[in-house]
Amino acid sequence: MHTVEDLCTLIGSKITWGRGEDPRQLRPDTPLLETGLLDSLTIMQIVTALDAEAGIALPDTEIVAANFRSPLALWAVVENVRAGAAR
Amino acid sequence: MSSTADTTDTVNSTESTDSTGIRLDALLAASALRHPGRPALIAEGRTWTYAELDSTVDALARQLTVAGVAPGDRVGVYAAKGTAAVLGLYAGLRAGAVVAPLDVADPPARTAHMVRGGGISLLLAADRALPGARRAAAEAGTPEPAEDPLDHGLNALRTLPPAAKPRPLPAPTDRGGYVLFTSGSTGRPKGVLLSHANVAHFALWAAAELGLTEADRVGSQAALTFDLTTFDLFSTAAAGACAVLMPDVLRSFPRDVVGWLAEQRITAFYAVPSLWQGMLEQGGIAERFPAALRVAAFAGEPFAPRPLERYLRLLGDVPFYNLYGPTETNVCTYSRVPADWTADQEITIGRAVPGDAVDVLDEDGRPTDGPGEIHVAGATVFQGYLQDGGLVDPTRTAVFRDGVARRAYATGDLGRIAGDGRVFLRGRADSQVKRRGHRIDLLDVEAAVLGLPRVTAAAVVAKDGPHHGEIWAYVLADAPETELLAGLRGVLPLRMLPDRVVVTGTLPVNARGKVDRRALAADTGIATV
Repeated sequence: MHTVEDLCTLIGSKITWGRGEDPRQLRPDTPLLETGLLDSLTIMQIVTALDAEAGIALPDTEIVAANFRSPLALWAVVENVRAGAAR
Repeated sequence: MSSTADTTDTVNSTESTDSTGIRLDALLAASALRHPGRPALIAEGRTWTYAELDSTVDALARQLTVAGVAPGDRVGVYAAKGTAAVLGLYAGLRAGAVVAPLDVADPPARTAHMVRGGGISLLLAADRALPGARRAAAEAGTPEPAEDPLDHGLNALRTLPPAAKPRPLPAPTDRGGYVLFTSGSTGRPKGVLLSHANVAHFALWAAAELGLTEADRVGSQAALTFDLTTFDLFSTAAAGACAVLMPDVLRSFPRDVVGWLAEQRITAFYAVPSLWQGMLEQGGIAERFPAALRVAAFAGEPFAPRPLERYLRLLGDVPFYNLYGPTETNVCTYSRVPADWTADQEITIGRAVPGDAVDVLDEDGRPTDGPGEIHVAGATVFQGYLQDGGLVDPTRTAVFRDGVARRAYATGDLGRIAGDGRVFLRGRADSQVKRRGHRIDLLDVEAAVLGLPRVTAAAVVAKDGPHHGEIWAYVLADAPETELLAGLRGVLPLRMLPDRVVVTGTLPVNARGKVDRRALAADTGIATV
């Protein structure tokens, strides 16, 4: 997990895509909530995968809508959590 | 009849207001007369007074009539939860229509099934939902529906030409009603047809039982397609209270819901146990308890005992109600959970709502003190299902333990009734399961899997063991899991998607040669061949 693009890949792998939809269409600024791409199960899967695959444990206080509006918003949280852990 | 006074009380409560002639839109009009300047609705940052809401509904209802909506017509309200959806529902009701809230997130093919099955001749679509409404109309057989723009960002889309309207429904729904679609056992969504009186009876009872007044701010979190919101809309209107609509995006984030309850000073909140539990376990409600909350309720699935006990300690004097009832019966039993209840005690769904009668019958249809199927009769019981545009009434006459023969609905829920009339729930009789608060029929999901290309056989099961609570589809197909899931995404709403699709070379069978669903449910490995 080095870049926001890596995070896009992780998020894209947890979304159930419909026919004709392409996981590669997910960009750092793609809105995730208004478009209904994320439901509560997908959100939990992303949180679990961040921990299991990248060692990033999001505290409950960060699992709020504002942080899941786009991959970029979540990337800012990931960087904050990492900075906190490095201190 | 062989009824005796003491047994009558066990199944049937007699004190009940007469809701026969009450219209849902009249609840709004009455509160607009009593409290014209009080807030009725808060949504998308705007507050509507009762006078504003009622006169807007009036004007929109006239537009619907001009657009050709006649009493008894079925109108689908196709809008995300918000002001436009609430206005559309009320205006449809006032124009005499049978209104059906629809979910804009459903795949168009599923919405089309509802349009055809429900005999929906007009979709009331919000501007933003227009593309989806057009696709659904096309799938339902009207490729280029006539469109009329109306006020407040709504549009009327004619899904059936006037000549093709279905036959009128029988009274009282020839003058309007309310339809909620649930997952059906035949692979098609089922339209549950409720009369004005069916919903109003529940709404008035609940407003009185929970003690709603015009000072209350009722937090509305569920989708309008879910029967919990009939409380949010109509109990609130009956009391002259204010309905505060929670933004949909918050529903997946318990911590945001906790913050929202406090910021909006919500005084009454009705939600599924999954959300209450999420607010406790991830949302920090114990540290940030919403100070204005004075009454709370849950329904839709059983509440896990330990979180329920923690809530009762947190709530203190705030009443916590357990409401029970399939969509077909609104709410038919209720219990105020005792404040000193502990997790080692059995939880009851309570007694019949006044005006309803509830009994537990054995396989031969006779009242039993042992386990049996919960049957419901009375004021909140629906008219029937909408199928192929017509009405199919699945109720039948049953003699309850007081000797009275009643028009009863067999819920499919198993339970036991105690001597004092309290009912204890034991699970489902058929293939329906609850997952995250949604009732899902496994056969419905299976039918969708079997409808995919390159699938030859399938069994959809609710898992036991380590994957308890999940729904898995075992499929014989020459296609990968991802392709099957993508196909299902086009025909099923998210809430009904299987958690896993396992492509397998063979399905186990039991001694009778039927697919052994029990073995699949218990299977811990992923048996691919």
